[in-house]
Parts: sequence; C-alpha cells; structure tokens
Amino acid sequence: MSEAQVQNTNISKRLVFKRFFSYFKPYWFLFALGLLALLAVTASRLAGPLILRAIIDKAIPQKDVSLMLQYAFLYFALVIFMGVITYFESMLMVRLGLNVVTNIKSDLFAHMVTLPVAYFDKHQVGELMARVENDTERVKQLFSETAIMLITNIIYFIGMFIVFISIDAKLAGIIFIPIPFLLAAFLLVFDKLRPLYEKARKKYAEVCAVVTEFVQGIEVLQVFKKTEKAVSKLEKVSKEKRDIEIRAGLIEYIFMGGLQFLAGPLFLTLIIKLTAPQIFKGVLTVGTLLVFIEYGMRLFEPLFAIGENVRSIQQARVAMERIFSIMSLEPEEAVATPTNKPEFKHAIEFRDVSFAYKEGEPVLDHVSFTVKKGQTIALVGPSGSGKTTTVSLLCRFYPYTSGEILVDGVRLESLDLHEWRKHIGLVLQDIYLFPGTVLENVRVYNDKFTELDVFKALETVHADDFVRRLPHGAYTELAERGGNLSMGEKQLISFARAVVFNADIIIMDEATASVDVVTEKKIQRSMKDLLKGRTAIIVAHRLSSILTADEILFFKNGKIAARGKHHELLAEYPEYEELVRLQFPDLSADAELDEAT
Amino acid sequence: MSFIGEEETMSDTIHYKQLNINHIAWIRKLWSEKKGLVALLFVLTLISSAVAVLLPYISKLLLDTIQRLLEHPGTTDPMLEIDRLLMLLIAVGFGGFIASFFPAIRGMTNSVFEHLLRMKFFKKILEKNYKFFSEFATGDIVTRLTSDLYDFPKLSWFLCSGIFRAVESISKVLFCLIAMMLISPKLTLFSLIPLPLMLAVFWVTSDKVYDVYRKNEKAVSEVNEQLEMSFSGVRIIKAYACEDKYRRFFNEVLQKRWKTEMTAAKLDVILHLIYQYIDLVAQVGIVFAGGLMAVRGKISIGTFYAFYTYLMMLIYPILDIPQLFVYGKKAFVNIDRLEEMASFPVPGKSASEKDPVPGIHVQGGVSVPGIHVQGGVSVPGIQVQGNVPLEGSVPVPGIQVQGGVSVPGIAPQEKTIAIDIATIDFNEVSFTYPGRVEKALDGVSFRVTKGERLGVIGPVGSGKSTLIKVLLGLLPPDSGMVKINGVPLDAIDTETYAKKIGMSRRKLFCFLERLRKI
Repeated sequence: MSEAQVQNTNISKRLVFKRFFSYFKPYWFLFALGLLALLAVTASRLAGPLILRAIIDKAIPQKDVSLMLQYAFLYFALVIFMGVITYFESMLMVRLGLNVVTNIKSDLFAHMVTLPVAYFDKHQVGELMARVENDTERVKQLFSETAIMLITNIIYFIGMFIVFISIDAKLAGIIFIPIPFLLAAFLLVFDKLRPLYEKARKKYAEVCAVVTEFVQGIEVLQVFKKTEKAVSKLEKVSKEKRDIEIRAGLIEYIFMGGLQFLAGPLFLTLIIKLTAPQIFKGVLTVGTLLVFIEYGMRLFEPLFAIGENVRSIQQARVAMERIFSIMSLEPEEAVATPTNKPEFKHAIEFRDVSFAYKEGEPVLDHVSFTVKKGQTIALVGPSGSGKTTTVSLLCRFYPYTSGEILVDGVRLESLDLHEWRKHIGLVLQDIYLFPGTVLENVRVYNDKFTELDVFKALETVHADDFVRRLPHGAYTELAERGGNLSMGEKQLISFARAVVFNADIIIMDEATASVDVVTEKKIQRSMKDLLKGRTAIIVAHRLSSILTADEILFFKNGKIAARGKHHELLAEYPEYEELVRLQFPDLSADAELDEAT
Repeated sequence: MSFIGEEETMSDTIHYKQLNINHIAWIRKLWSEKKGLVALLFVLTLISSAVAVLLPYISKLLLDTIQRLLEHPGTTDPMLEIDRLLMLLIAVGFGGFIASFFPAIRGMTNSVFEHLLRMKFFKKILEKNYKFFSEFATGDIVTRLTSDLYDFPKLSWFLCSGIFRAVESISKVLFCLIAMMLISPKLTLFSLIPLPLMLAVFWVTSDKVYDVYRKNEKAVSEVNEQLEMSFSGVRIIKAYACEDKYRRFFNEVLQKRWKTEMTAAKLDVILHLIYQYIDLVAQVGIVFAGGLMAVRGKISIGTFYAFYTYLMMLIYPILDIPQLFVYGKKAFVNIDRLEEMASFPVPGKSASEKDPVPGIHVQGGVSVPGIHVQGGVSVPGIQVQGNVPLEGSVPVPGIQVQGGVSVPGIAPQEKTIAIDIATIDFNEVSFTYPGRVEKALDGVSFRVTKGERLGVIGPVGSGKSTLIKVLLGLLPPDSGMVKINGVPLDAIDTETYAKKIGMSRRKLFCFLERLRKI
C-alpha cells in the first residue's frame, strides 16, 4: 500500500449510502414497524387541532355538552393511543440504531486489524479510537433521535399540507409560497456549515489523539519536566476545536433565530391578514382560523427540526464517510491467491529487495541474501542501516518496493499471510504486553498452547524464577503494558512467546538487549538446543548474541556491506572488527568466542 | 484494566461512593470562572421565555377580538383593531429574534466549559505517579477527558445547555402559569393537578438513572480500553496471527455494552413518556374542563385556545425540568469520574510534584537568626555568616536558597534549588511495586560524588531500573531516603533538578512532535 493509499480514500456518497444500507437491510422489518408506528403517532398529532376545531365550531356555538364530551373523549383516546405507540416506536428505533451501529463497530474494528502496519504508523492510536467509537456513535444518533424526528416531521408536514388543501386550496397556496424560499435559504446556510462540522469532528479526533499520546508517554514527560509543553500542546488543539464549534454554533443559531421570526410572528400575521376578512364575510369559521393558526405555526416546526437535525445528519454523514473510507482500504492480505499455504522446506531468498518508508528515502537498497532452512543468520550494523526493516519485510508488515522475497522459490506475497506468520516466532525490539495474565501474554490468548507449554517456555528463557515470585505466579494480572514488571522481565515474557509458539523461523530483533549478561548466557545455551533444526534471523547490536551464526550480514546504509562468518569478517572487514573491538576490547584475532564473552 | 494485587490494600483507590462530592457546589465553582457569560445567559433566557409566553396571549386577544367583532359588528373597519394587535405581535416577535442569540451563546458556553475542564483535569493527571497509571488504563483516562465531556448529554453540555434549558423551562412554566392565572385562576389550578404526581415519579426513578448510566459509561470505557490495547499492540497481534482473537474480545465488550445501552435507552424512553403523559393528561383535562366552561359561556374561545396552547407549550418545559435531574445524574457520574482521577492520592515524597520557591534569590548561604548557613552572601536585611549543615529543606517562606538550609523550629515548606549536584546519597532505600511481594529495592545504600561514575549491573529484576526511577523522583521510596547534597529528594525543586539530568533509556517513547518542541 503506497503512502497515498494509507490516507483515507475519498469515498463517493453513493457508495457510503450503499454500504450503510447493507447494515440497515437486515433490520428492515424493525424499521418498517417503526415507520408504521411513526405514521400512526403523526396522524394522531394532526388530528388534535381538527378535534378542537369541531369543539369550537360545533359544540361551543350549539352549547352541546354531550357533543363536547364526545369530542373530549375522542381526544383522550387519541392521547392514550399516541403514548402506547410512541413507546414501541422509540424502542424499535433504539434497537435498530444499536444493532446497526454495533455491527458497524464490529466490522470496522475487524477490518482495521487487517490493515497494513504502515496504516498504524501514520495514524495515532487516539485518532483510530475516535473513528471506531465516536464516529459510530454519531451514526447511532441518526437512528435514536435524528431519523425519528426527521421522518416524523416530513410526514407531519405532508399531512398538514393535505389538510390545508382540503380546507381552502387557494389560501393554502398563498400560505405555502414562502416555504420554498425559506427552505432554499435553509439548505444554503447548512451547506456552508457542513465543512465546519467536519472540521470540528476532526479536531475532536485530534484532541483524543493528543491526550492518548501524552498519557502513554507520561513517564517521559515527567522525567524531562515537559508536562507544561504537553499542556500547551493540548491547550492549542482543544482551543481550536472550541473556536470552530463556537463559530458554527453562532452561524447556525443566528440564522435559525431569523428564520423563526419570519416563520413565527410574521407568518401568523400573514395567516390572520388573509383569513380574518374571510371570517368577517362568513366564508370561514373561527375554528378554521384556529386550525390554520395551529398548523401554520407548526408548519415550520418540521423545517426547524430538520435544521436542528441537519447538523446531526451532516455530522453523521461525515462520520459515515470516514468509517466507510477506512473500510474500503485494502487489507494487507489483498493478493490474487491468498490461500496458498506456505511451506518452508529449503530456503528464504531476498532477491534485490528495496524498500522505502517514504518515497525517495530508501531504507533498503537492492539487498540480496539467502537463508537456508536450519541456518542462523545474524544482521548487524549501525542504527538505521536497515536491519529491523529487513525482518519487518519478512513478517510482511510492509510491502517491499522492488525485488522479490521468495520462500522455496514462491513469492512471499502470494502466500497466505496468516499461515505464513504462524511460521514465525517474533521477538521485537519494542516489547508490548497486554493487560491480562502472564500466561495469556505468553500464549497471546491462544488456547492451543497448554499451561504446561507456557511453563516450559518460561523455563527455557529463565523467566520461571521471577514468575514464581509474582503474587499469583503465571496467573498474575499484568498492569497496562506490563507496568508492574521490569524491562528485563518484560523482555523475557516476550521471548517466551516466541518459544511457546515453536515456530520454524525465529526472528529476534534485539531480543536480549534488556537482559543481563548472565541471563543472556543462559538463554543462549538453551537457544542452542531450541534453534537446532530451526531457522533463525537475529538482529543484534550485542555481538555476543550472534557470534555462532552461520552467516553474519553487515548492513550499512541499507545495503549489505559485508557477509561471512564471524572470524571471516573479523579478518577481512575493518568496520566489523571495529564493532567487535568496541564490545570486546581485549579480544585478539585468534581468541575463542567463549573467552570474549 | 486495573491491577491490584491481593496483598495490597484498597487505600489508594477512591471509588465513586466514597468521594461524597457536593455536585452543586462543584458546578457553582466552575460557573464562577465565567460569571459574565452565565449572567448574560440568564437574562437572555428570561427574555426568550417571556416572548414565548406572550405570543399565545396575543393570539387569545386576536381570537376574542374577532369573536367580539363577529357578534357585535361596529361601523368601523374591523381589520383596524386586528391590525393594531398584529403590530403588537410583530414587536413581540422581534424581541424574540433578539433573544434567539441565547442558544448560540449556550452552545458557545458548552464548548468553553468542555475546554476548561479538559485542561484542568489533564494538568492534574500529569502530576500523578505510577500507582495512578497502574489503576487507570490509558483508554479509560482518554474516555474521561474526551467522551465524558464532549457533546450531548455529557458533562460540558449539562453545565450550560442542560441547566439553562431547565432555567428556560422553569421560567417558561412560571410565566405560563402567571399568564394562565391572569386569564383564569380556576382553570390554572386544574392544570396543576398532575404536577405532584410527576415529581413523585421523578424521585422514584432518578436513583436508577445514576446506576444505569454509570454502568453504561463503564461499558464505554471498556470498549475504549480494548481499542487502545489492540491498536497499540497491533504488531504483536499481527505477528502472532491473533486478529481473530482480538476481534472476539472486542465483540464481547460490544455485546456487554449493547445490553447496558438498551437498559439505559429503555429507562430514558419510559421516563420521557411518563413526563409527556402527565402533561398530555393535563391537556385532556383542559379540553374537558375548558370545553365545558366554554360551552357554558364561562370562558371565551380565546381563553380556551390560550389554555390549550399554554398546555401544549408546557409539555416540553415540564419534560425538561425533571430532565435537569436525569441529565444531572448522568453529569454527576461524569463529575465523579473526573474527580476520582483528580483525587487519586499523590504521595508527598515524590520530587515530581514540587513547586518552585518564590521570593528572594540567594546565592551561597544566608544567615538568618536561628539558621546556620554555608558560604556567605549578603542579602538585604540578612547577615550572612558561617556554614549550614545541608539537612532538611528550605523552610524560609519568601527566601529562595541554593543548596540547602535547615532552620530549626521551622517546618519545611519550600523547596531547594538544585544548582550543582555534589553528592547523591541512597540511605537504606527500599521500594516494592504494587501487587508484588518481594522488594524491588531492599535497604540500598550508597554515595556518589561529583565526577564519579557509578555502574549498576545485575540480573533481570534485581532493581536497577527501579533505582533509576527512584533517583529521578518517579517512584517514592517506601522507606529510607534519597538525598541530593544532603537534602532529601522530595525537598528539591523538580524543575532545576530535571535540568541537571540527562537520560538515555532502553525503551524510547516517541512523540509526534520534534524532540526539541517536546
């Protein structure tokens, strides 16, 4: 996936609607029932003024108490009916909204974990959380509040129009003249507001990202006394969000205020100016005037409600665009034949492989080497020379730019990704421990590995001692990111992970960087047995880890500058010799490895 | 997910029920920071309510005038009188237009409060130590500083819109009742019958709202925690092909949240209906009673219509008033969640929470009556002589002292500036991590003097990194003392101390800004 592709792609409105509809479709029955209920409730609301008209035009002038009571009971029945139906309609729509949004959240998360690592390099954790949580909640509001009000108001508006026409078509026509103009002004203003709402949502995601970043790095901030700088940074972002929201709110509400003045007192004035003369002529009744006032005053309620809902609708639309843009990103396993089951029997070959995180800045430059099955290959070299990148490509965290990586002659990207990764036991430079027990952290919640397997793995890496000393042994809950363990202890658990998975390829990236030399020595002795028959690729700054490797590749500026066994490089490559001397100043050319370490 | 070992007491964890926050006082204190805005909102609210209530009254006048002119036609054009009333209607309506700035200011104030609270509590979190961060997961903290504050019906919305909607509703109800009493006291009293019933229903259901809402907020936090964990550890998840498992975990927390959301939604709908129903029943009462009175000629059509309209107008305000308490309970949950974090104790020994000492800057030593000082300096009004044993802290309010000074009889209050670190002493320092039985440091003692290089080696988990963290002031020793130039570490000014330290760590956390900016 190129850099352009890892940014959110622009998704068409049609596609957004299509995808949204696919989530909505399984619950169409709920929606249909809810719609019927809404129709019933709206019809009841429309009937209220008509009953009043009957009381005013018939019961009161005729001073007919029994007629008045009949209409009153009818009104009462209407109220009861409305209440019961409203409950069912509300619960139906809430359930619909929750079901749709829960499914979207689930699918969005499921898709996001399939995205390439490069995507996560470019987006902060807080921002991603905001997408899954906050954007989907916006969509939920669409159902629980916005959709109900929108549909109700549209139906109400149409109903009122029908009643108006049936009473006096000419009058109705005059009354409805201003409506298209007001509606047009309405849509124009809210179209201008839409980018502001989008900006506000983005700012909110940025706030979440900044808070997450600083909470995660709190120790660094405290040690270096940079907490004030963190406060300034958050203050800036939070203020920007606040200011955008204020601007959008001012535009929206001032416009709505003006509209309400036009659609309220001014509109009422128009109705009375038109109907009063007709009443004095005996053409219309007072009750009819009352209906015109009631409906007339409420004529713009649907529009105003739509206006208030528009903000929610626009925010929901923006949120949906963002959600479905992410869901339309290609997962890392987007290959033609993803079901090729990988087999590793002979060799892995890097053939003229190049890679760049950023275009124009190659990190690997035409790298070629072969790792035979059962071999131990070490990658050494200065920081930033491409060692970690090489193993990341092998794990298919990133797609290489050119060249090929072949496994038994088959291109790596044509192999089933998950099956390939099961061949690899990975111990990274950056240790990540999940909240959970030591046991689950070692087996990464894979029940296939028994407790015995885990204990054996812990013993192999000499982590059994400290684990036994924990309050509940391997069942001790770890704090977030293993906050209650030392760095070395975390490293050992990370190491035990690779051991328990018993993969045929072990990749270690500075795996022993944080352990003491005594423990490292013990691990190395155990690893001799463990690596027998397995293939190992070891990235290390600490040369004691790799001196017995079958081949050592010396990386420099993204290229392999030299290769060979330890004693060959020592004799023939001065930079390697310098590296060795820096770590083992007393080592002579003929010294045995054990002497040095 | 929080971790607390069985052996540890719960003394550091303060839960909701123990906080006993006076939420009203909390809100009042926050409002006091934006007094002008709040006052303006109050005035505009009253104008808005008054205008809203005047309009039906003018409609009543119009209907009664039309009825009167129909029954008793005069010689003059009837529309003249109608036009006068219509002018009044337009004037009142224009007043309403001015008052319509009120929702804009309300929305603006919501955003202002949100920003204010976020910054206030973020600053407090930055002062916390390792115990806090083992108790509160990152996802949970982020939720409390973002989702708990942002938008409807969360805290910042409630602090302004929530409360002022209730103020608007109360004022509308009051003005409506005044107008109704002026028109027909008998009918007004009849309309008030459902009110006690409504309050009784509210009191019965409001406690349930708090618990239901709190459970829902907890479910929201759990979803965020799962998200934070999964996205932060995505490389491991991919490396070990565990995507399916994490999807399953996420779906589990989603299902849990679905249940809490449905329960909360059900409660919301029922409450809403109860309040709506009570007012609708009152309307039905008006149709019956008002209709009968109109049929019997005791009230005019205009009055009947005015009461009907006022009762229609009363529905949402009356719904909003108890909503104040419903939303208030939800907002109190948000307040409690913020204060739960803020109230988490920060032990007083850590050097990461100290404040610089304001006052007179003194170089070398100072002699103050009762104080024995090293070096010599002349400070206005103070004679400098002799030496001072650098024990204890700088206690002299208003005096900033470099190195340290001990003042017998004066309690240490202020901090020592760390200009030059001559000695570092660990005296029988011990420390145990929460949830662990064995000590990470056990009676460690050593001295390092200026210019010396101290190597710290040992097996994994032997206390090396812990020693560094104690020296940095990130972890307060359980016993023993760390001294810098003979001054206890917790009495050292952290700003100057931090500038004396350069550190290169094994695990690097990278911010997205350039290092220089951070």
